Amino acid sequence: MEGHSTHIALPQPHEIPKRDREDAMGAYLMMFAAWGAGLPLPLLNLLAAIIYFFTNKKTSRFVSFHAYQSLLTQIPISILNASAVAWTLRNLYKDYAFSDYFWTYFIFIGLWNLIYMIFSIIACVQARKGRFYYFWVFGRISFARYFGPDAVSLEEKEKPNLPPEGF
Amino acid sequence: MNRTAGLSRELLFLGVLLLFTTFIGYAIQLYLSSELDENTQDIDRISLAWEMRFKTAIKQFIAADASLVENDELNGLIADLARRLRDHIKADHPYEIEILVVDSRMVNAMALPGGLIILYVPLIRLTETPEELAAVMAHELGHVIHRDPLRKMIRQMGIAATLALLRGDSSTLLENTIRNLLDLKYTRDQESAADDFALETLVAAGIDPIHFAAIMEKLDPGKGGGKSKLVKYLSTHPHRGERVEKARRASAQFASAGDDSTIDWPRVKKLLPSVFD
Repeated sequence: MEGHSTHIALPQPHEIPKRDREDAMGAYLMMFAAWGAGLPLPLLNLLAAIIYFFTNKKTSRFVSFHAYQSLLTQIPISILNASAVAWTLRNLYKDYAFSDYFWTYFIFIGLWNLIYMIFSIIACVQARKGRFYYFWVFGRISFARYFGPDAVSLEEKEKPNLPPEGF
Repeated sequence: MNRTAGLSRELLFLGVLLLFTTFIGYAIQLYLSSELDENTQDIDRISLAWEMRFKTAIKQFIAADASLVENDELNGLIADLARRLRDHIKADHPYEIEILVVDSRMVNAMALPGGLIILYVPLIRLTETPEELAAVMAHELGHVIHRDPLRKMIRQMGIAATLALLRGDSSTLLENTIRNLLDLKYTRDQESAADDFALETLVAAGIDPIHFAAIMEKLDPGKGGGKSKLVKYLSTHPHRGERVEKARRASAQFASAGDDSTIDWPRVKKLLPSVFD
């Protein structure tokens, strides 16, 4: 660890234990499971992502990075899905028509879910290989949190482990 | 500096993807809508003469197959209402509107090719004023003017079979089609357009659109109607709430002359065949 580095040195695939790789992969896999179960109530999978993140945040930086990235990407998708569900329920409950705007939005949401799924599968596979995978914007935020300058300064404050004097 | 540039680039990509998916969503929606209206061009291939010949065939079929109500006073009053509406239709059209009253158990009204409108007795019985019946007729007139009955035939059978049928190439097909025609549904867009037409025509004819709202509420009582919301959604008619709301908005803008009909409607309804007949 150098004093003025702008980020913490990234663990390389061969340095990452299999357990960590699986936990990192789990951050995305869990999202798929919750996604299927939570489709009628999209905020459920957001809740699952939050729980997974807090459960794994103290394991390793690699796992925390993937869990945090999975959680962050889940937020906009959950909001989009929840709004689509709310719009559908409103139409059904209030007896309103399913307008062209609704269908445009519905297809739009479908496309974003598809994009999200494709990128999550890629991230899942990469995590299993012990690699980092960065989503646009969210990858940077997650990286900054666990490996960026703030993480560096926090790490620098920690008293390092040293060998016995004289070695 | 590099970090900022990288973030800016990714935000830009995200924004472009956002716009792109919105555009794709809209394009797919447009495509699906146009699929429903694909018969728009085909309809022009059907001449008025063919349509009128088909109307005659339908009338013969109904006369032979259904129980027509032939009360001169009732039919005269209904024809007067139809005339009042017809005289205020803004669009040009070639149709001579003809109304048949059919004794049936169905609470329904129906527009058929050639300007033929069928009113079923239970529907008339449901109305409380002649204006409510006029509202239903105005809606059906909308289907007539938009040539929706032919469109639904084309949608169901395809243009080739429809043309063969209208040319009179197949008498068996004719009979089957007339039977099926009574069951076919319009698309939601067609229903909405007919509603808009009805409200416009009612206003032009000096009839308060609130009567449209009143009869819609009777035809589809909503929560007490028994059908689930989802089933209602899957049906082709626009939602009752929306239709009623639209009619109320039109009514709010309606400058009433206070000239609602003076017809003694309860007495007119007594001219209908009894439910025990």
